[in-house]
Amino acid sequence: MAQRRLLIPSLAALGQEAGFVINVPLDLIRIRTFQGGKLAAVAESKPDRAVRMWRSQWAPELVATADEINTVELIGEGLSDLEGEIAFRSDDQQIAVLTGMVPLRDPGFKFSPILHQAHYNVLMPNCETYVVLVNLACESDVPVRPNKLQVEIRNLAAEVMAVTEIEASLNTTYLLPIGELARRNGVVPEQGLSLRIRGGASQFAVFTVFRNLSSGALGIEHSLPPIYFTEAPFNPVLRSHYQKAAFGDLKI
Amino acid sequence: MTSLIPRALARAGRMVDAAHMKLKKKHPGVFGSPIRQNMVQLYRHDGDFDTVISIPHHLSFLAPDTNIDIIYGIKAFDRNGGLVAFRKHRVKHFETLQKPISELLGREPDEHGMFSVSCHYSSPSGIEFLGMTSPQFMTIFMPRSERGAPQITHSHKYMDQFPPLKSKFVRSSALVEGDRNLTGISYFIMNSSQVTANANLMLTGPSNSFAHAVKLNAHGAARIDFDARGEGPFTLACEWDRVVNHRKPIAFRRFSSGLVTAAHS
Repeated sequence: MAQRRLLIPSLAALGQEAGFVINVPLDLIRIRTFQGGKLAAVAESKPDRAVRMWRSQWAPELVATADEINTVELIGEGLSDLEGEIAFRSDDQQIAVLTGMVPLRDPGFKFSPILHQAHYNVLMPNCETYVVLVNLACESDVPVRPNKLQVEIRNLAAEVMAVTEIEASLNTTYLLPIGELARRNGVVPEQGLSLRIRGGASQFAVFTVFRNLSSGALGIEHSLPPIYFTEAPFNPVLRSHYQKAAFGDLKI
Repeated sequence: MTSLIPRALARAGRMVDAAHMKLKKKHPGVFGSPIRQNMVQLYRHDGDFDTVISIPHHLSFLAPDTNIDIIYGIKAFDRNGGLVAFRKHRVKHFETLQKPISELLGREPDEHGMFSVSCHYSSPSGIEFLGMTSPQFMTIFMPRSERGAPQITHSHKYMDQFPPLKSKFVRSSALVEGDRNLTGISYFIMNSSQVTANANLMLTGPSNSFAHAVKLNAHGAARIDFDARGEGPFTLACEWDRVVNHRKPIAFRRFSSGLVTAAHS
């Protein structure tokens, strides 16, 4: 059975400290910190029922980096459908999101590409929208092969404004500032944009972060993967047709 | 005996629904596409936040080679459960419908309340391989304050199709609140059913606890403010007298900086 972990991105680039909350009885929590795609620290904790931990508590010897990820492994009984709370704090506020856990795959596991509909963007002169892509391939994989993803930018009226690619290294956090990406591609973000992001070869968790550029205030939510919109990805009869339809034209 | 009849009715309702969906999957041309819908979420339209709803043309991403119009229906209720408006919007392939709720409804809604999103497709052809589909959406709470950031929640549970069973149960949230600068939490609770429901929100902290009982009209909503301050931890439990579908109050935390952040509980 695949081991499941809470996957915590870094928002150090936005001045935030990462943390998590688990509110169930546990025997043990094991937290791994990856920097530059490689395992950099492991910490263990035997918690009380409700535990809130922050990055400065579980790996105080390491300066938090923009590309790091942290994984939280829970050891105990009856944890199969558990949700975890991922939190970020600064001096001014705290944001949090409840999210599911991702499986840790064996070395050499063949991952399916991901499909993220980034349609909910707030792009104004004082507000940026970030797609936060955090991925975990495997602890023992040497992080050399890139996760290539295609980004298609449309306006709200469906016109394709630009198509580009990004590379999210294995076992890292990748922050995609949509307004900035649009401007780099000659697209005016304030008109309203919708992105289709496809590709990759890793286990991803995707979040969206809104940031007030004047005050640094943030908002966060996890993404809705295709399984929320259709049963096809998990239906063995429908899956292959769906994969062909959604990714058949993808060349990266 | 009195509880057996509602249970039997609820079970029968679920069986009818399942049979209906099965027919739709098998014969979408006759019975229409199988769509699980009428998902609900909170709107705010008060002094602190307005609401923008963002709805993708989801068939574009899942079946890009098709070209089907989606007609979305947006229905909003006031906090007492009264219908504010129901408006339809036609969205074409790869378009995105993202507008303030007052524009989508064609009128100003209440200060807060519940809304739902439904849809139907201009054609059932070419999307059979998707099986059951669902029009999910994102709700963006736009701050009135210049310093605030937009807050966001995904679409939640479906509106109840049948009157929920009268049966007490408690849902405990996995969300644990607390921060050195926390000055309070407002919870917004919705009744996704077509009958009156009673709820009791209990926020338990390390040294004190809060409780607030609320009666929610059918499709009604309520705001409950708790004076929860500091690190906590504060945990929320909600006792319902009916097994309603939507059981996750939306939390808005206030901080001494003046900033407000939100999450579903």
